[in-house]
Amino acid sequence: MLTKNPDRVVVHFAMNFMPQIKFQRLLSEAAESAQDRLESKLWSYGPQVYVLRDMEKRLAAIFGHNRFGFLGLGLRPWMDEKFEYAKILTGAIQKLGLDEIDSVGFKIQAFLPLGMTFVEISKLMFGSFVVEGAQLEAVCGKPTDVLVQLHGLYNGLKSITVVAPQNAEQATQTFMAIPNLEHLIEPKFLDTGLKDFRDRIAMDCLYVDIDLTMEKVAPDAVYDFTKKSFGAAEEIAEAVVARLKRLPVKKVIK
Amino acid sequence: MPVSSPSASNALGSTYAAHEPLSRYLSQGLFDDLGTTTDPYKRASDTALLTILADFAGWRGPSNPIQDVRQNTTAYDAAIRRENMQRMREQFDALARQANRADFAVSVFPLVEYIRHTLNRIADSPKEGNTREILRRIRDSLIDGGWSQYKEQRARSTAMAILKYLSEAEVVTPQDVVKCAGQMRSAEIRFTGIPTFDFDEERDDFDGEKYDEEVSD
Repeated sequence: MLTKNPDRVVVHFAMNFMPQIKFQRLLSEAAESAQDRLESKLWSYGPQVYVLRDMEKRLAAIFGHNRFGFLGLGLRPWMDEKFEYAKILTGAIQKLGLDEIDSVGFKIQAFLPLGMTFVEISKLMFGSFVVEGAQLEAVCGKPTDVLVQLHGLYNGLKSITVVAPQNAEQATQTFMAIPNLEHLIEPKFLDTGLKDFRDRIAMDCLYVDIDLTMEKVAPDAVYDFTKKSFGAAEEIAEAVVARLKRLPVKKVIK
Repeated sequence: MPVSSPSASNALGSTYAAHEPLSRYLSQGLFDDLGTTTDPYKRASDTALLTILADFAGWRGPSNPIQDVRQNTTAYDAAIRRENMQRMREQFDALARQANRADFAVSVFPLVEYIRHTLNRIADSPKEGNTREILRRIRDSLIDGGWSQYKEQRARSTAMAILKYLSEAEVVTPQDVVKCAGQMRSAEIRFTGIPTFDFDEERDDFDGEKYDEEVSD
């Protein structure tokens, strides 16, 4: 489902670690090594953070004193080069001399078009993700909208799945609330990348936010996490849509 | 933020706020009356006008604050069909426990009612004609004494297999009508008041989509 709609997905990948006292020296070295591998000419520096940017792929790599991460507009670059990006981040971690990452996370925010109106998607949420609307009338009157957040354990990964029907306005608001989007356009006053993405998703859609994390990870295990989390996100998104549309859910999770 | 707003300008103002040309038209108050009427015909024409206006302004999304007057989308109808078929299947399954009762016909009644309810619910759907065709055949096999056939496990299993397919299929095609008819024929399920059971597209009351007709996605 995500791979079928790559241009309606925002991708986040992050590694959190314990900051070190010598971070100022090591951080610049880590960012420099990543820049060489990313071949990213655009970069910027803020307080305790380097940002490397690739405008062609609409991608920003962010290197902070306690967190390294990727932000991507569209799934395509991550689909094609996720292992390379994971390797770059892991290489940067090793430059810091760390042998353990506190947590690593992969998150997607997808605005999936289902060929249905907002009202229809809202109606289908009842009876699939929450009880029938009639049973909730005492709680909220006749329900007209719903947002579901589920926490779980998916194949060894901690998961948070958020599902909500959205109309054009809600999708726009959700998208514009994503932090650091400004790093994905250049030159800032002329680049229409964000507007184009907004125009694409500003319609009645199903918003699916999937956040998968793993704690206390050795740098060597990031490759496995990258593979596992991408597969899991795709399966979860597929299952979410199937459940809403009353289609059989193919995958049964351990 | 769903539908039904007292003023189209307000409703459209928020829904289409992101689209500047359209917002501009609306802020001029040119379409203040749109969507405010309770007359269904006027509301339908308002919807059509809004669609043209949105197309003209280059708006890509289908959001429409008075979309409740519109027909359901085919994707939604298909989801409703799958949900109802699943429930119908459970009702057929429950018949097994009643099969030996002398008043078995009474047990079948809610099922027939549910089929009628489902037929009504998808009656206007342009892409569920094949589903309706199959459902009518199942309904016709249950009425006027036909219910006694479903005392047999074989008949129930056949109907449940058909309903299982309908509860999982993305699209129900004319070929599915033929296939289901064949399954029912093999299980020797008879139809009250219908002497033959041929899949005939030329029949006057045929409701399924034709073979060469495009089906929903």
